[in-house]
Amino acid sequence: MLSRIQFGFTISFHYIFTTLSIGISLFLVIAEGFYLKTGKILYFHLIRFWSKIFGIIFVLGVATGLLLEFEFGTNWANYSKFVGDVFGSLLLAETFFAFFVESTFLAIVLFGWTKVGKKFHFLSTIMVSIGSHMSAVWIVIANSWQQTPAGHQIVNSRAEMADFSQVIFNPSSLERIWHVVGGSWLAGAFFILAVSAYYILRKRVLDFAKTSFKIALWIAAISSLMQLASGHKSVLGICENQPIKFAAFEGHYPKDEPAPIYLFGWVDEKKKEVRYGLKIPKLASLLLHGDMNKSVPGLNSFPEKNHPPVNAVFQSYHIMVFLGFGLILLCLLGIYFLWRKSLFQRRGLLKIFLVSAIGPLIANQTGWFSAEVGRQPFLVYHLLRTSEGLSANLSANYVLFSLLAFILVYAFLFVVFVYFVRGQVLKGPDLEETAQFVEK
Amino acid sequence: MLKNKKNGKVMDLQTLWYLIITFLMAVFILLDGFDLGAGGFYFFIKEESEKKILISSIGPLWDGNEVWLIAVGGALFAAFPKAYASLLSGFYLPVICLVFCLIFRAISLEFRNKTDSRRQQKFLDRMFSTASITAIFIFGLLLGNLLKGLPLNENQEVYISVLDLLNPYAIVLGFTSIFLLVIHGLLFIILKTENSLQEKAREWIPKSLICFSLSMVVAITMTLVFYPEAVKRFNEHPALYILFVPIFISLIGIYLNIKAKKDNRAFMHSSLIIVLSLGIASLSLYPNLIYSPTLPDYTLTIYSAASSLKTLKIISILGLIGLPIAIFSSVCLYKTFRGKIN
Repeated sequence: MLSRIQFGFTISFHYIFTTLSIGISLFLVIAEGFYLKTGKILYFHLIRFWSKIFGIIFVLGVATGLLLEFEFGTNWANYSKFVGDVFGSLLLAETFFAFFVESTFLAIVLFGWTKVGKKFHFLSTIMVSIGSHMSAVWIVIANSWQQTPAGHQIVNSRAEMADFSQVIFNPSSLERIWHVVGGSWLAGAFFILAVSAYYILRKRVLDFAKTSFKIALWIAAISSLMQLASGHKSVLGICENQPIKFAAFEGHYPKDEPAPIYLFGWVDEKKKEVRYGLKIPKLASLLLHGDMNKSVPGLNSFPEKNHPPVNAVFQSYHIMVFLGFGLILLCLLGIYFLWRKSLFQRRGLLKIFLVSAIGPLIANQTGWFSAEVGRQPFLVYHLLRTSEGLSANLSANYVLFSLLAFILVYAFLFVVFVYFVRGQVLKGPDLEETAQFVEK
Repeated sequence: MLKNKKNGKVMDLQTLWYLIITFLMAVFILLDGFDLGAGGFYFFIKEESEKKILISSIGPLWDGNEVWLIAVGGALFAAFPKAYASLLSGFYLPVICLVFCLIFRAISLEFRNKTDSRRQQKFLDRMFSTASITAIFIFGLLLGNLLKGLPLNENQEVYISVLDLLNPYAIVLGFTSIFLLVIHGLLFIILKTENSLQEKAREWIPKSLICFSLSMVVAITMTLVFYPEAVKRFNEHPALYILFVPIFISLIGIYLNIKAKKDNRAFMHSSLIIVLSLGIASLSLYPNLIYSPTLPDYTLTIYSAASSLKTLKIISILGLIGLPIAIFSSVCLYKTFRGKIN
């Protein structure tokens, strides 16, 4: 149990920084692209400032990510032995195609302003972005294999590779990659929106802030709509491949009835019903199958030992969806008022943007919570139960010690993060700077 | 060296991946070794300007260097998952401790030059040095325990207490590693810096060389006397003992080249020492990954710990595409940041 908490805690914390990194890296590519195209110094200031913020976030991603590489082996030794063939290969791919690329080229982006030409610098920014996206791709493939295993065969009580392309293109990986990448773009964009809104409200560096805001707003708006599409696809996939999980999403118990959508509710797991809920009957069946009378297998169709913690999954799923729609609405409002040219006078709306940075971050976490806790009690769906994957040779004391240590250290890291980002934001961009790239 | 030995012989995939992991480990120690070693030296630098220069010299490089360690972990997981699982869970507390060291090293490096507060700088300085040295020590400790062998049970799991992990042999190897990588770090600083910092680093070379030499001799002696399994391969092919000779020649080489200010050559000598030392250790271990002195039949060899042949083939192709990417990225990095720090 402690190992579960430790893994959940360490990966959730790590996930804050990785999503921000991916999202901001996209922004940097766009901004630097504009700089190379228009030559306007404003865009140079954009990339100078935002890349500094990016650097801080990225190093926290690295610091919190290093553990994860080893945590599979330390706390989940039996899992590692079971899936090493498949899962290990995917992690190795991630190292080669993502980590090397992003870490080396980031150094050039952050420290090479006077050492390389502006084209090579832009290329480096692109490489960093590609690298971080590759990270998302491979880890989602790995996790998707846990959810919808394919391309393997069970030999000698472990999963061995049978067909690598089937492993990579397992039934859920593509839509989940889209959904994770979209969620990252949202997170990065909203972070920039929040900081830019802060500057506009304080009437500081207005040109800089408005340009940042506009670019980020377009990224956010497009991503939020993308999330709706990829989310829908993902749910369709889950309905087909992980029906128990889907039933938990909506707290749907009856064996053979069409499924409703709840706007909110509370699942009573003993009585096997949703209470205090507001439901739209048959809507899920309609959205999933196009037929509101099509029945969807409920939790009662499956043995109880295979049920996940239903209420927890229900709540996190609904929080994510609620936030998702909220963010879409906010973005559309933003675009509307941008078109009407009154966006930057609307202080109320700007204040909402200021606090909304936390929206995608929470949505991303609750989304993963739904996916992972919804997968319980399995580590690899129907192949390995979570309880079977732990390290047998770890004493509870060791894990308790490491868990507490990580909580303390990560709390320290969070303080460091807030302190230095805040410092950078308060200092603001240096609008006197000129570019000093190496001339060809 | 190892690769030359195998020339002309058809190599099985398990041996290939053993070599690949050794290679990845070697690159990691060659690269991250100098910034960790420099971190140790950092503790003794008092001049603020010198501190800033040292941090700037490794600032852009440490992250790219550290990825090679992740590659070692990933390769071990993919190629020898049973060993990955048993090693990491068996070495639980040292591995967790190592992770913390690397986290603290990363944070202190990144933020030390971003703050103006003297108090914060002092705190981060101490964190940087302590984390760097402790990380090196733990690597040496783990290597020592691997060479010595670990108790495996019938499930090939390692059950060992921290006290047992801190045995004299492992501690000696821990210190030997520290001395070696501090030398490597000093040589890197000499290459990258000028004036007073470079002078200081030069002054440190003779005593570091002596510390390492003594430590290395003790380590070799202990291995020969106490751990026959580790020297088995060398006793079977006594010609292999010749591999130790270049190490000691290079030690003298470092001394002479530093005196003659041929700094590039000196760095190459320390690189050679690192590669040879790791090669010797790798040879000693082969073909075991975790040797079990208590239940030798349950020893995890590269054959019993490996993934299926199909996986090994697939990751070999992965490596064929991935390693050039890794090397290309690293080359871009070092080309951009070549030359002295100004």
